[in-house]
Amino acid sequence: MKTESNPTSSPTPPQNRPHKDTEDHRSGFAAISAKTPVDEAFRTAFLRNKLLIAHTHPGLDITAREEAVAALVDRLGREAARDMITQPRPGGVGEGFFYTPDFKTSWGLGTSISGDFVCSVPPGGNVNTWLYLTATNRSGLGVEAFVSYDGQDTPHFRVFDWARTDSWQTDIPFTALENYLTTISAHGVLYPVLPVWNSTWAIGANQYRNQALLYNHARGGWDLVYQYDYTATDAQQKTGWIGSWGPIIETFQPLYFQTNPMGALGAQLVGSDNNGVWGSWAPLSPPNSNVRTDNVGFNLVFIDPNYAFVVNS
Amino acid sequence: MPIDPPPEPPLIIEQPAKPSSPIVDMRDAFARKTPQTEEDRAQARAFIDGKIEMIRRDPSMTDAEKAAAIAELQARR
Repeated sequence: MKTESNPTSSPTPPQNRPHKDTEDHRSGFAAISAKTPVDEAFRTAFLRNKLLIAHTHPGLDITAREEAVAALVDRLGREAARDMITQPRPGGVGEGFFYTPDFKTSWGLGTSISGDFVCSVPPGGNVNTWLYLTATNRSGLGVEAFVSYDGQDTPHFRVFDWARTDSWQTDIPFTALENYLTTISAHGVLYPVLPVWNSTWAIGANQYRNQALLYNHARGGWDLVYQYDYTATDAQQKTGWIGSWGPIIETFQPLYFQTNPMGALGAQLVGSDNNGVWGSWAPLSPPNSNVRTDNVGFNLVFIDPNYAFVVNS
Repeated sequence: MPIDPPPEPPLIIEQPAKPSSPIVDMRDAFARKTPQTEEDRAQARAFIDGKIEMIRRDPSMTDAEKAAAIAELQARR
């Protein structure tokens, strides 16, 4: 069967294939579709994913996201939407910076990073499990000296040492960090921060030292809070994926909403050359790093490429 | 050639430079007082598992790069 020709309302067929007339097969396809079992799980997953896309769209501000989500929730159903929000999903990067391969290995005998984690207390919103504000100094066996959230409980400052088998070391609740927690102004807003500095460098032939320090604002100086000396090779320090992330928000939920500001300010690194001479501190910058955003619902308040960012949701 | 001492303290970017005081050793106050427990080991595995998921979801890594990075982390579990 043929359709009526109506050249004023229909586009002409694409030019890349031979074509004579259009035939109407709607009834045949409808009959086949009617015999195909309905896959409710697929339909739900399809709509859920649209909801996730709407809720985490990096190009929409929070208001626009909420409007898009509201329009979808009516069709998805609130119960299914709640399921999607609460299912744990580790391994996300809410926002943050990864070193380029060249920069990750462009140090000689030592490397060091410093920055201020923007760490609201509590994290607010729907945070109901782990969430980390963390960073590495580029070394494969260095430490992560980081802010660890667990739901809305008191955050902890923790040290995970990649050089050790007993990796968990320092673990201090924020209630014991009053000399270290402070505020800093960025883009005209005061943010709560924890200034952290961690280093890895050679102290002897195949001997390295990891350090973590916190800035004591009460006395105006850095306090050494963790140190570990160990045996390692240059190849161990510079090969592999560990040590590839600068300041990041490591997430464990599929999406976040109504969270307080989190991020990092003033990320800067320094390396020593192969003679052990330290260079100058320099902010992390775009040629040396890439931004990763996994679209888990965070809204970028600002980014200073690539040494500072703050997100909310 | 090994190096010691460590790098000079970082500059303060966001605030006017403060006078640099000497580093104070506070390790005793911050040191872990208890031995590692089975829960610590489980948490360490979970910590590393989170990184493995981070690799799996990395949009910029090739399959080969992901396989190598995941193998590196699985060896640490």
